[in-house]
Formats: sequence, structure tokens, C-alpha cells
Amino acid sequence: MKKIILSLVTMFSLVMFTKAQTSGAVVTTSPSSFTAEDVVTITIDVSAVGNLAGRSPLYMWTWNPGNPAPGNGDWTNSNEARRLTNVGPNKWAVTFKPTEFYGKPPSEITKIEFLVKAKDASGDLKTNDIALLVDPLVYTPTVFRTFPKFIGKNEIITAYLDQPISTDLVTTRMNPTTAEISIFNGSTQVGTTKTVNLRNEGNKLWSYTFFPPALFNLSASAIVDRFKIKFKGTILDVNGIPVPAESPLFEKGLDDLK
Amino acid sequence: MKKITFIIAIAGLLLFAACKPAAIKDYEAYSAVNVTSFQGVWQLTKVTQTDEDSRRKLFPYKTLDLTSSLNFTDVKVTFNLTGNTPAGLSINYGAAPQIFKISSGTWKLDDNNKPGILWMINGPDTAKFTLGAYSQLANKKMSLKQAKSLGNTEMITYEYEFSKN
Repeated sequence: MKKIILSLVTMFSLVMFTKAQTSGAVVTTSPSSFTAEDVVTITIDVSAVGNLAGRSPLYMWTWNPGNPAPGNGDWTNSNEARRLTNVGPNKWAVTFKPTEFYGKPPSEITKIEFLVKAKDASGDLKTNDIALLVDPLVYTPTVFRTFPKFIGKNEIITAYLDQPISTDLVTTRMNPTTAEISIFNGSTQVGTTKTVNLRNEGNKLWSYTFFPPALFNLSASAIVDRFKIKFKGTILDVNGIPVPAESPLFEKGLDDLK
Repeated sequence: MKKITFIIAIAGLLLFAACKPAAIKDYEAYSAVNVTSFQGVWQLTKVTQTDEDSRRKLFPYKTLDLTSSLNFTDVKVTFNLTGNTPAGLSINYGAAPQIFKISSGTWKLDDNNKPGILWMINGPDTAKFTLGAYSQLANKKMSLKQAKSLGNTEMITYEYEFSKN
């Protein structure tokens, strides 16, 4: 019995260890969001991927929306056309326009799926699967949006909550008054969370305009790559008494605009 | 009769040969506008932000008037001259955020007699602006346009309108 338990524990550990050796890739895109017609640079940091950290060169292996010409090659011998560009220690990048890269119309490119691997990926020398969503070419209203769409840390940003198109019942019914905004570099928060008063734009549209260096007292050298916002207010309970309520947390990437 | 016809024909040919295309003159700037037009204190009166990506993709929400936001009408920019040369620059933001990065420094034009581009400079921090219509400058109004790009693609433009007494 002891032997069976030991074997099971060993097997489980092996599975977990193998998974840990292929997970941990940090993927960023520039611009932060893109359509199938935009030129995008995808950067993959494999520092935390045990099986790939320190290896060179690395290759892209992609299958969705298709296998781009001239192909990925073989699992044990990647096509040189899929070789990634080294842009720093354990950082690899590829730049392309999705429609040209995959040779498909924009309507067929809604998601890009790929992984990063060694030329010969035998022995799991690869990352886990990576998926990136591709924005549609037509405008799609969303409950949270910013103006402008592409924003940077030194730009004037207006964040909007468009209540009527919310699918979240609390957000739809809430009487918004404030928002909590925080700014991040990766997963690390920079500065403190700020609570700000919302402006009523009419028709249940709420907004707040801010300039990140001023709101967060950012230095010129501060590095930030995203901000998060939660809209807060009140909602009536069963007795008609206002109680605190809040929207889901929304996140938006910051681009390096110059 | 033959003589008259001959004379008329010769006169016509001479007239035709005398025609020359008018010389194309160089563009001349509106005479009232040069580097001295910038000297003085300019108050920010309007700020407009344009989403160039939305404009290219024909998405809604292309332009936003920010004038009433963030106390932008507090901003005063002072351009000084030494003789006829751009010299010191100071910016008083009042309660507005420091949107031009710098609060003092120098400024320069691409051409002091036919200005098209203006730079606000403080060490490595430089803000580049494209100048608006000359007719505005002659009337003590100034429009400066600033573009922000991602790589080589223009993503946002700001248009700042100023006036001076």
C-alpha cells in the first residue's frame, strides 16, 4: 500500500515538476492590443521557464489561426523562418502583421495561439501554450473603455463606464460616484491606489480624466505598463437602503508612446 | 493683299514667340509673422485630443475636447527673445498638470522668418510642435499641434490653442 502511495506521489510530483518547467512565460505585445491589420511585436520573456531559460536560439511554433508559410517545420527541427529575435536576456520577439503572417483574411483571425520552443523541443524544451486575443476590425462597444484607445503613461487618459451595455447586473444597477485607480509595472503596483470622483456625462455614461504623472506623482523614469480601475457607488437593497456596490476590476495596458 | 497677310502672319509669330511662362516664385511667409510674433505670454484657451488610430479605422470617438478638464486654461507659456533670437521659456501650469514635461528652458523655431515647427527644450526633454495657421498668429492667437507615436505610427495628436493680450 505504502509503495502505491509513494508511486502516486512520485508521479504527481513528476507531472507538476514537468509543468513548472514549461510555465512562467511572460508575454507582452506592442501595441498593447491589436487588430489583424496592425503590425504587432510580441515579446516573450522565458526567464521563469525552467526548460528554456538560458537557451538560444528559440523558435515560435504556431497553429492558430493556422500554420503560416513556410511552416513551423518539425517538432525536432523548427523551420529557420520561425526563429525569434533575441531582444534581451531570455527575451525573444517577433514582429508581423497577422493577415500577412498567416495569409488569412481578418475575419479568420480572432485569436493567435503559439508556444516558444528550442529548435529540437524533445524533452519538453518549450513553453506552455500561449493565446493572444485579436481585436475585431469593426468597433465593438464595451462597458469600460478609454479615450484614446492607445494610451501611455504621459498621455491624458479619460476612462469611461458605459452602464447600459454592462452585462453585470450590479454594474448596471449601481449609482456610480467614485473610481479606484491603480497603476502597475507588471504585477507590481506603483504608488498607491487613488480614489477619484466620477463625472456624469449623461445617459448613464460616467468618466474620469487624468494625467498619470500628476495623479500618481510618477517620476520621469518610472516604468508602468498598465492601470486598473474599479467603479464604485451604491445600490438599493431589498429595504430600499443604499448599500456599497462596485463594478468588476477593469485593466488596460499602457503603450510606450513617444 | 499678300503683303498685308504676310505682315499679319509675321506679327502673330512674333507675338507668340514673345510669350514666356511666368517664373514660379518662392513661397513667401505672411509678412506679419516671424520669430517676434511669438514673444510674450500665451494663455492656453483650448485643448483637443484626437485618437489617430480610431480616425484611421473609422471608429467612433475620434476627438475629445479636454479644455474643461484638469484646469488646462490655467496654463501660461512665456516666450522670450534676445534681440531676434529665441531665448528663455517659462511655463506656469497653475493648477493644471505639467503636460509639456518642462516648466522652463529654451525654445527654437525651424525658421525664424517662416516658422513651421517649434521646440520647447530643457536638456534631454524636448517637446516638438507643429505650428497652425499664420493668420491666427497675426491675430495674437497660436495653435500648436503635438503628435505622439508608437514606433512610426501616429496614435494621438493634441492641439493646443493659445491667445495673448
